[in-house]
Amino acid sequence: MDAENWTTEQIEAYLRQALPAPEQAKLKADLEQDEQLRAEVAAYQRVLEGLDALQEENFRAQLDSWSAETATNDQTALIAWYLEGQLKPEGQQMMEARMAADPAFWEEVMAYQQLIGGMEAAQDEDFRSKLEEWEAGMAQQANSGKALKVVSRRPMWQYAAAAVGALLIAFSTFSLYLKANYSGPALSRVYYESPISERTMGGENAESTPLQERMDFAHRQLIGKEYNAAFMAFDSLMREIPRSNLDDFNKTLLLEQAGWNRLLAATAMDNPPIDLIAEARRIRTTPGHEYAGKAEQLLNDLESRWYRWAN
Amino acid sequence: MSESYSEDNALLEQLRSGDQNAWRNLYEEVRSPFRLYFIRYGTAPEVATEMFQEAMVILNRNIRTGKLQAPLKSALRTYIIGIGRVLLMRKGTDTQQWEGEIPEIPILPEVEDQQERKAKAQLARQLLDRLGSPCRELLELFYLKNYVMEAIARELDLPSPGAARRRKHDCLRKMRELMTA
Repeated sequence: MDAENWTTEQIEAYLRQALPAPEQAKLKADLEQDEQLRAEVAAYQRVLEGLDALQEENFRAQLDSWSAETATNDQTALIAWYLEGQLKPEGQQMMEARMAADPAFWEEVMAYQQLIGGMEAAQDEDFRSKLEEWEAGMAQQANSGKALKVVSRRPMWQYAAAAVGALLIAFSTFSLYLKANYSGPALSRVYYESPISERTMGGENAESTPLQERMDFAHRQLIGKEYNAAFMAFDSLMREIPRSNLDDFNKTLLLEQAGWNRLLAATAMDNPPIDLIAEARRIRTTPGHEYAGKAEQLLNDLESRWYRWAN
Repeated sequence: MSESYSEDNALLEQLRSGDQNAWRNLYEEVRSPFRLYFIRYGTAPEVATEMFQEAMVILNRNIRTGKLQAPLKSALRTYIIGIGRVLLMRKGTDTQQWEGEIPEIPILPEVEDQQERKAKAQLARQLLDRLGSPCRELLELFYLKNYVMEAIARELDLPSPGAARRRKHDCLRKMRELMTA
């Protein structure tokens, strides 16, 4: 059979591997014998490949337009997966590295965290009682005429402004002293302790290794004064550790370590995303907490006038 | 066969017939779980999005060429994630320890680059432009929009699917002749 005897339909079916087997074999055999047929089939192949390529090009353009329409929520979804703990340790690390490298992204994550945290708290019965407690406290302050402690500082500022040069220098020196010893970053440095990994992690559990790596990463951020990144890293560990398969002993140790260091990272931040005093109190009052004693000291510092002045 | 696969088998037929709504719905349904699956294990979000686009192109190609046919051995969503895993493994990422029963999808290595594909598409476009309007329309419906013969007959007011099939091969022959004209 020569080129004249094979129809366009058969040639197309041959090229698509859709001819019945005997015909497929026959055409193949003819191709070996007939140069004209080979040229003919090759020409159809170019036409069909061109049509397939054109179809794919159109499909890609269609996908691009769908992607542009659906991508608007990609970042929100990404942050929600992270905050909801849906990512594996590798995913968490990728997010934390991204936050450390991109302050705008970090701020976005923080905003969502506050939003989600706020919504969770709104459902919490304790939150309602806390509101009532704050309300009662504010009413008491208003009644006793001590609405804001900052009022008591005003005469001192006025005095300083009017004081002679020697007093100004003395005040500046005092201010520098306060910054060096009572600013958030200074307190964070004073209370920071390097982790003792052998003590905090069991060696046998395979799951401990990625967690330990993330803990090391978080500590490096804190030591390197990358407080925002350190906060997020310890914060995500606090969500991840309870879901791990570690035994209760190691779980508690790691959680305590992550919680304490998250507090130190937050203390060093310009705008701490958590209530420092409430968190220090939580650690101090947790029975058997490894950092309870240190939390008490930190709490004293955070509540001191020196801290307020330095910050 | 599970109920979900029967649904997916029906969906596969819709996809094969070029139903744009079916493709769009599948795209929207699978995009987020696909991205989450890969981002969860540390794949950068941008890479996951690119991989999803590529996996959809490969799915489209496999359906068009008949490599993927009913009855399906896995849900379409799982199949698409399987394509993504193969793509990622080709980039050197080990995904063996990842959770989930994701099938190994055989994907041919890309034998042509983007330029080559563009050149082929360009040739087809030029040939279609030189064809008369009725033939161009018919070939576009069949090859670019994946219409079945019944739909083409209805669309072009032809007496039967058989007539549409004959017309299609006449047109394809004309297109081939234009190559050497």
